[in-house]
Amino acid sequence: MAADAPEVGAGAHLARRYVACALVLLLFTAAMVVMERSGLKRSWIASAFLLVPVVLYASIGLACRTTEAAQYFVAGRSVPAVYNGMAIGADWMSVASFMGLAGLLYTNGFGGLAYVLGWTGGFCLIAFFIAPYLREFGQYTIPDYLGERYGSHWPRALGLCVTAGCSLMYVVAQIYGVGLITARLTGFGFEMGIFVGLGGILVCSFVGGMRAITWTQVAQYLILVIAFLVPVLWLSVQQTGWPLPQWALAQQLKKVNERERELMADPRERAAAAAFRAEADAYAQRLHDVERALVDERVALQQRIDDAAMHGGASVNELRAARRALQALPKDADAAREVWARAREADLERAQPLGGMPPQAQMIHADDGTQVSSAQRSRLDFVALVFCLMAGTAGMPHVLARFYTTPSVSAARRSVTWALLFIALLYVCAPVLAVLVKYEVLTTVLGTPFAELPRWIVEWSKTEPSLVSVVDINHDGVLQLAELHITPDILVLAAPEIGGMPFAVSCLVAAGGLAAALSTADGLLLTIANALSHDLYFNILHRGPPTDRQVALSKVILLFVALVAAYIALQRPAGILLLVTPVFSIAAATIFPALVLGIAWPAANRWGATAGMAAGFGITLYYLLTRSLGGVDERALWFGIQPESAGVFGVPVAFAVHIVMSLATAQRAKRTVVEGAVRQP
Amino acid sequence: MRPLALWLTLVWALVSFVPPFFAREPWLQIDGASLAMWMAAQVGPLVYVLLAWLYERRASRLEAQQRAQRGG
Repeated sequence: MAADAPEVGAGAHLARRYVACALVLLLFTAAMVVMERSGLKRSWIASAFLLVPVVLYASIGLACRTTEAAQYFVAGRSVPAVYNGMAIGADWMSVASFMGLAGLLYTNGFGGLAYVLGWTGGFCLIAFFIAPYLREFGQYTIPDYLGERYGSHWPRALGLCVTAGCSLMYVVAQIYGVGLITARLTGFGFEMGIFVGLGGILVCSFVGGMRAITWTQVAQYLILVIAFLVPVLWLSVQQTGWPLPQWALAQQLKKVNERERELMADPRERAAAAAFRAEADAYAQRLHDVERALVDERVALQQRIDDAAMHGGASVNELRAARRALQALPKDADAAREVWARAREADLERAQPLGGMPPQAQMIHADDGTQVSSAQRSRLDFVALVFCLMAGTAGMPHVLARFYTTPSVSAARRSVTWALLFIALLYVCAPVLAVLVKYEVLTTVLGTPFAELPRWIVEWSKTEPSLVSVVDINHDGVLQLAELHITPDILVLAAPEIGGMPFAVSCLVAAGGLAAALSTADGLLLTIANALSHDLYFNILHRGPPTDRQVALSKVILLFVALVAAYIALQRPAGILLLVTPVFSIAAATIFPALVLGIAWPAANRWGATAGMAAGFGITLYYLLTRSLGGVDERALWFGIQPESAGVFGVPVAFAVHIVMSLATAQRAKRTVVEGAVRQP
Repeated sequence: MRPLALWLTLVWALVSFVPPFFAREPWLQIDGASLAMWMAAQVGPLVYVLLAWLYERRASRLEAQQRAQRGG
């Protein structure tokens, strides 16, 4: 990639390069499949799939290095619509979309479709009400827009806090995903995986800012979409004979429904469920008198070890298991109470029909409120989540900042359509993958003797036992659905192995997941660093900076934020989607109303924006914290809406406060924007 | 542009928020799942692409007309 702006408009040349990149990836995968069959070691294949894409990203990143502010912050405002669409697609499809979504649709059934609707529908709001107007206004960051539009530091500062806070939470989820994938590909530990992945992130964002990220993200989009579609098409052909995912969905969903009905009536499944219920009852007994139960447990385990050592009756494995159980015993009563309460909840969940998973085709729970699983949502809760995800998407700073990079307003509009098309391509295939994998698990994995479990179960449970685990709870020696636990986050990574595909395809999928995580993490880190350097330091603290210092400071901040995010990710936070979802509610209740009213209503002023953002943030955070800390109490929920959808209350409050405050202070506020200047590109 | 944006927003809202309210109606089942499921899983995202495309086409045409008027 050459040095200046118009070079990126050399469309045909660029298209040829990226098509070649996609073809090379397919050929490389095919070559790896052939070499795998001729005996190439798995560790070599995995390393190749890690190294080749990372070298590609690093090459693009280094070729696009820059210290010029316009290039670093907004890629010289020269990115053609179709490539900006791809870059938005990669920026948007994070590890949560790539790895979490299909997994969630597998474990939660079609209740998870709220994410498909929410994460695509939000782009319509961006297209109609935000993107072209933002581009017309022409700033560098979202807090920058708020500061200039409302002519005050307060909306800028609030926008900055939300941008930095939301993006940090989001980037932690990405780095956590990078750690998981790198560990899987290389065999390194999770901690080492995080730092290797961090190197891949920094080589792009650090050296070339938005310019390097943009062109890397185009390549990353190609890799991630190919990596996602290959197993979907493979399973479609394997199960139906046709490479048509939507046709496969219609065919296999009926079979999954039928198999689920059989399993619900299966006596062996019921026996496994009863065993989990009995174990939950045992935990409940212990929780009555935790201190005593802990002592009893410790004595019993010590007795087993002593007996085995004295009489030699027990096998080495039994002795080891007893020692491990003794070591794993909680240290004190408080820890025991927490661990046993959690174990009891997990057992009760797995004692439900289908191991606690709702029937696949069920989107929402029954009208009478009876739930098969805690994963199910009511109609209102489903719609609330869709709304929060949509409004949150339309207020997500790292995506909105990409619209500053197009050469014109019409290109910004076109890039939304392209982005939505590229995103929808993956999102409409996620439900297909969930159903095809579930069919595979229900028909080929269940009923397998424990001694003959598939290799993927053995390997995944060895890599990280919390991700995949099996337990023969009813001691019949055969795997039941309730006895198999798969974390949603690893379903996509495990899909090729579940479907019996070559190991090289597993590595391709992991490379796709890595592309998704790296692309989003790059965008998020740059968003945080730019907001802190451009808005906090050079606009609020020191005005009128020399541009070379601005870029240098942004790079230093980026490095610091990356290390902080990696440190948090090392603490192994909750599941990827759990981490990401509340971020949408906060963005929806703060940035979205301030942007939309700032664009659509000339009378919106600084007082309204500041009060509206503060009120939206306050109510959302209040609901999130009070309803989710210490477990969700269903009776305390407003209209039965789960805490992660808190934005459904925050958005109307933010709009109302913004409007009322703007009207109330109309005389005092200085009109900062000429009417029509932002609304008519 | 505003009337078009508002009409498209209305279609967007209908596609997004109405089907889930009929997700358990037995008479709206197609191929083993509810119509709402098909809308959310497949039709909805494609309708969104169509809406964004329609808006972009119309806005570009209006811009071209405005440019022509200014030029003439």
